[in-house]
Amino acid sequence: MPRAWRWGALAMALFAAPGAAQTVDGALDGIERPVAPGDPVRSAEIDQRTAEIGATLRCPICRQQSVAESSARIAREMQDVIRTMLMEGRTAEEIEAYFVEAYGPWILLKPRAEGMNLIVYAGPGLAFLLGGFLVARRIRRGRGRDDEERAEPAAPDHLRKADRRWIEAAIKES
Amino acid sequence: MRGWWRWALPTAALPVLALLYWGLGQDQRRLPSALEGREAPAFRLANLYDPSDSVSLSDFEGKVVVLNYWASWCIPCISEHPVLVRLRETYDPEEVALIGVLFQDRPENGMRFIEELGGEWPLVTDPGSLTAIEYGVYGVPETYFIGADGVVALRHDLAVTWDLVERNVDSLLVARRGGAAAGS
Repeated sequence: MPRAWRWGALAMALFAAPGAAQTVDGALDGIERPVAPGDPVRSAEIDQRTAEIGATLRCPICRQQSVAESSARIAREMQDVIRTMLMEGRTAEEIEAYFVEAYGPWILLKPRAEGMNLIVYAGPGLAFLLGGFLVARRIRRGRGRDDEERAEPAAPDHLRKADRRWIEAAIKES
Repeated sequence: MRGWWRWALPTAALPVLALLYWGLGQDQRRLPSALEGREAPAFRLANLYDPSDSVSLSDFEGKVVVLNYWASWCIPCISEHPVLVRLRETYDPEEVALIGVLFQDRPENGMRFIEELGGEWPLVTDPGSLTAIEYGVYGVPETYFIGADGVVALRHDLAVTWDLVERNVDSLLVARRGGAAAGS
């Protein structure tokens, strides 16, 4: 089967209306990667965009790696899907949405800033602000105390009443 | 005010600890499925034995469908295979359809696998794993329980057991019969 035809089969299978026939390849195993016909510049551009988008998606098998990095077969197949979709003129957002629809937000290496994910995005900033507020408050209170101490010697308020009475009596007697 | 931050800090730590507790309670090997509760993606795939023939999900409209992704190189697929054979033998094919999708495997290997272990249900191939990717398949075995309404009720990402199959298929059959009774 010619290469371009295979690419067409992949594209048809992917974007055909539900229920439409998917082209059947006799070999079935080891389908060739879709290649943009003719224009090598366009092909290189699509390869680069495929790698960029693949770098944002998690490989379902090697979960710590992106689709672009992973050598797992499913990752290569996902790259083929990305490449095909780019050739169809789909945007990066549409391609991302396609994979999120199939695999859920888990497939995104960089989680979206929504729902529980907001904790990850806002947490460090909020913790920093809270910490800064507490430190500033402590410094301000420390300064206020220093000023008070300079203005007026600290009263021995830690003495017990009995001790204080004893000292006052001793002063009077002397 | 001095006491304020003394309780504020532990209070602020509580959500973090709760999140940690929740995270540790999750089974990291189990992966979420985005498909559960949604309509199963339509497909038409080539028959494993006769590539000129094809099988479509819409061929089984109104039936409970058990869609099983498998491969001859997959060891858990061997252990779950008797469960699938039993499923086919137990339920009426007019009510429950079982479809096997060969995943990242050569057709001849798949055919040899079935020849050795048996199996009389529609078997299809998925070139380029296009359908598998649309279903959000991570690996094999993976099994999707699809209701008669075409909605995915459950995705199971390990070898299925008979208890799991029976529980889910029976539940979907009850819903199917309920739907049929309401429709009549």
